Amino acid sequence: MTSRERGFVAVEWVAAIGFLLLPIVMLVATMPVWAERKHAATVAAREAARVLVRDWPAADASRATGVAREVAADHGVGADDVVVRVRAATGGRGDEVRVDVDVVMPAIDVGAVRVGAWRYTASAVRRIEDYRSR
Amino acid sequence: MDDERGFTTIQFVVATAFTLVLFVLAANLLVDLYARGAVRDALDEGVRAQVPGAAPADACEARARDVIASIAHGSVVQVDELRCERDGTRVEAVARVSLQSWLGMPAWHLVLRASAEAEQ
Repeated sequence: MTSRERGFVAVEWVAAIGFLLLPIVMLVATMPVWAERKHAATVAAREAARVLVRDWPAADASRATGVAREVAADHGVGADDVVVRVRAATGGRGDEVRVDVDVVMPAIDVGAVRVGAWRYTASAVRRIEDYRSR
Repeated sequence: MDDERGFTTIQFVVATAFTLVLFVLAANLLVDLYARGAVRDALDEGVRAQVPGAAPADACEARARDVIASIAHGSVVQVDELRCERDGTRVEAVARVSLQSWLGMPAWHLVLRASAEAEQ
């Protein structure tokens, strides 16, 4: 072994971990979070829209918002990461209620490390039945 | 030079072993995250089964157990407790599950919840 070769393998090892393994581990840990949050937003929007239709004609947008936030929390999405927008909460028979739920999608989310983010929006639309009694 | 012969090979084997352990841990994490999502889906299905006013009292728990059995059966997830409660118009399901480690590390214990508003 010459002096130029000393420590060569150790450097390779560190470089391999840094440039190959860590990105893979971060991807493995982060990608399921995207799927989970997408699903959480979809379920939250669906439940909020269902509550609005159920409570019609006395639908309460704040109650629907609370339901959506609760569902999101059940799926591990914190209140700071959720924005619920209730559109067309009331209307007549045959009208539609619509709820949009935005969730923050972290670009990297490994343990306590969170870097970058974008937002995903899930929408749910439900129709108030045409012949529904009040 | 003679006493250094094979030195790199040993290092390579050790490094490869550690690398493979890391890969196994990453795969374990991936499967555990899948199992967590599966149980959450099962609880969602359970509470939705209890939403209709005429649903039987055990519809939530039965449905949740069916879903867990169909998408996360075997040793992937161990359900320590699963219960559903109806409080007025609200149905809530709670599950305590354990996800076993592949490498003898401590199990991952989780408490998962789902809720839905029942039909009136």
